[in-house]
Amino acid sequence: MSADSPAIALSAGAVVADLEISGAWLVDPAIGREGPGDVIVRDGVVDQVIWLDPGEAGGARPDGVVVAPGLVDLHAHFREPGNEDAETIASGLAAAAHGGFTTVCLMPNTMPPLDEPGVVGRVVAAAAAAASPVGVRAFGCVSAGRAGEQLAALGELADAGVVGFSDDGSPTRSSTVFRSALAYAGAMGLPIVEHAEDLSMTEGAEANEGLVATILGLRGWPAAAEASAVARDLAILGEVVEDVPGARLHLTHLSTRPALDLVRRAKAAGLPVTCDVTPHHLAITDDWIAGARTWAWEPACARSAAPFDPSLRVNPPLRGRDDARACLEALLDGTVDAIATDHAPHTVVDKQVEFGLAANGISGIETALGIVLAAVEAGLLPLARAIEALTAGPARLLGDRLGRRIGLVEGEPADLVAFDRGDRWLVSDEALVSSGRNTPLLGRELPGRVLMTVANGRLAYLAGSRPAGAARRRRGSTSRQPVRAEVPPRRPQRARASAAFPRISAAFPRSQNLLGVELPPAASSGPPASRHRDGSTPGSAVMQPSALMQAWTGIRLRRPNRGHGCTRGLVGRSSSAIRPRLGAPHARRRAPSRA
Amino acid sequence: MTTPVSERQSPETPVDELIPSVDEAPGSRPVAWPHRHLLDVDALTIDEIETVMRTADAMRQVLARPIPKVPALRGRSVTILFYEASTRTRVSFEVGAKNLSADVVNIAAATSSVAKGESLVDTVRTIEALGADILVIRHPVSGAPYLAASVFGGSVVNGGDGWHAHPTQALLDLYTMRQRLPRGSVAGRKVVILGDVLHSRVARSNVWALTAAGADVWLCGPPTLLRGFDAWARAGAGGRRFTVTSSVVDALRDADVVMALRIQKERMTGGLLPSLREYATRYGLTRERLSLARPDAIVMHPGPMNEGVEIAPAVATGAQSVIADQVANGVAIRMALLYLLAGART
Repeated sequence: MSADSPAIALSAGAVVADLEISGAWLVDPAIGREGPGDVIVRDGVVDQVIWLDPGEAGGARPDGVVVAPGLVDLHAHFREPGNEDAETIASGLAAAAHGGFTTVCLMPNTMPPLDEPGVVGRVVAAAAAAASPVGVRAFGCVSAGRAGEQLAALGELADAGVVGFSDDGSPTRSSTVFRSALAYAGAMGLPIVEHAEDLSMTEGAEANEGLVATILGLRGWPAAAEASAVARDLAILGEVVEDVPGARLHLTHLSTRPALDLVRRAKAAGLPVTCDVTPHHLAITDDWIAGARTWAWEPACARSAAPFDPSLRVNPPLRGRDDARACLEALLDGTVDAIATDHAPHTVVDKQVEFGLAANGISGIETALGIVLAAVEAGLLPLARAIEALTAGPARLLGDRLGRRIGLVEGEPADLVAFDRGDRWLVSDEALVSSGRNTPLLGRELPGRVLMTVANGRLAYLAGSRPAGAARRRRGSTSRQPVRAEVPPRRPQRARASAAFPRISAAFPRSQNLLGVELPPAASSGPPASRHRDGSTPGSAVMQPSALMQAWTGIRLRRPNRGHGCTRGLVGRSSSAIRPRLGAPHARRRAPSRA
Repeated sequence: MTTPVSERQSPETPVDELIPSVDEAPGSRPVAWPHRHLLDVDALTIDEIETVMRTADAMRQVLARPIPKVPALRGRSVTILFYEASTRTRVSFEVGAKNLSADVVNIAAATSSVAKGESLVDTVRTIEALGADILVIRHPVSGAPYLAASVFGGSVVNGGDGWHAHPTQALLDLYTMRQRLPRGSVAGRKVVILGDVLHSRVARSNVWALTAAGADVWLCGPPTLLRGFDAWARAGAGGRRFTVTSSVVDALRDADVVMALRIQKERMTGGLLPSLREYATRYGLTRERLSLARPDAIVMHPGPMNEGVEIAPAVATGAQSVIADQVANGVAIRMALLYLLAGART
């Protein structure tokens, strides 16, 4: 590779040796605080979190670049083992990082399902092989084979590290098994995560029972089928908790007002129940099946798409506007504890078929943040609450089994996401990383481009890059090789690098051969000590930051012993040109809170 | 746009001045048909429905000839792909296409590669590769013709999809009503659709077509088979209202048209009805019930009938029945639609 075309390559999984984000809007739900500030990461550990006075904000705004703890997804389907065409753990983790998630909890309805510890071992091995810093947690099955008739190996699964139990994809069919599972898992301090659906009311259902289904002739999935299942679950929980105080129930992907009302009342009565909603049930309604394409909170308008788009088939189905409104209200009043993606990737074979034959599910882990931010943008949801429901909310359910502290916590491994609310991105086949392209949002712009995801002190995603291990295009694949970034301009466009935008500078250890250019021998001495918690080695996936990213975020790639070895021509300016800009604010204000 | 169909043109009007000679190839003279596909009735304006009716009049004149054949679609290939059993719809499309001199290919899903698991998308792409210009599709899943239309390069005609739509049936029903009602108009006429409305694509498409034409539409059946329709009635169909009731007496009183719908035996498993016998007793269209309607009311049925269940044999074959007319008009309507689609300018 000639010096004239210095390709840039970052290793996904590399320890973030030196990252400085200044002038961003920080949101830390762990301490209930948001405001302008800086975050400095050294050797994978949060070195400083500096909250600025509003007067010092220097252009940081809540609708600009936001830095938040890494997002936690309580509910994702990575189809490994059994259906790797739809998603592997590796491709799912890459997608999660693209979506800003640093921990994902996998649902156990794989083939075979996670109903005994051996399958958990396969998942753990696949996650390790993926070499992603994104944390993988798994739910085990409630019942053997998800058949709902006999308890799965709950204790052995707990020993294998599962974070709870769920027969998701269907409810726990037998009420007796459900009761036993609540008690058995409760004694181990683990929750039962229940998919609430009265199957006898939803056989063959294609869409929410309502006006759209009536007009389109689709078999209806009535709201009462969810409420009656929730009522069963709560009634049983109320009894079990008398005997087993540790019993906990989490209701996932609730979608209707009656069900949420039941949970609200149960919480008020002190039952140990929590619940989540999905981004799509907050924002997308069943009239999309008839061709509408406006968010649930926007005025209805004429059809703009062909009806019966199979990417809209999901279980529970997309509901009407009032139910979407109820999901939002429940999120605002605390009835809903978390937003979970229910990321459900499917292949074209399973999805590009007749609506009623299409597999249920939306590939959503990459669009979740954008949908939620659309609601924030519309003024319906405070940013802090949105972030809370994507981080601390789900973390509470996982407790110790999350394995990390939520928050921008000095001294802890860096686990954060930086996204730009002012930068919209187009959901497209090219932009998506997941193997599952089954999203009704293709062709739509979402707010909040993720700039960078750092998980457990390591780089998980950097804007403008694509992990080499990510899913390849199904059609029109141009290259199996990582596409090398264009040479950045020597004098990059600074139009967006004004004071209104935060500066992010990052550096990665030389030892990991992060740069695609040959460095002079003098520059390669002394690999830095890694303070990485699990001591793992960085992965080999190659990422390429775009020229744009460098141009306006000021991301710089440096050796940790900064001052020399800065890669010539990478950002078109020397490190010394940047240091004063970064250093000056540090000198002015101090006393970061050590949480 | 809002004038009812029937007031604009009676079926007896000479059509030659309205429609170019069907002996000409479509597209050789301007026919204002803006749709590439026919997937649902709700996509048609009242003027477009009127165009279909007038074109069907022309086709009836063709059918009245000693040799009912014109070269309008010569060289065009029509493929009829049915994933469900059918007699009248499939045969009337085939007869209609042949009367227009189209080349017709018939595919029954059971004897095609569909039985080997070929997907609808692949099947449609195959049919296109084999040279089809127009694809007529019937499918048990609602919305399937939209999927076919998304990958097919020619025109797709919905021959009935799931519970969703049966546009050619609705158009031939409207045509038959206009033919038989005084002054050739359904405007203000009470049209009762009686039976299993929930599972009926015929009912849904007729709601669109008949309300567009200004009819006073009533949907009647057991409450379990009307679920959701009351909400639709309140919301209206394109702003037009219709009435939903489970009272067969209220529905039939002074009706001008009574259309009975087939009760499918497989529906009895879902806990929707106690029994076919009970349905026949409470909702079957008997002579006694029909006497509630106007003396000159016409009786219709989209077929196939369960005689003795939703309709008494004496009513089905009685003087008021126009069921045979429906079948005959089905050929003219389907010829009209094939003709219009072949000349569509989109």
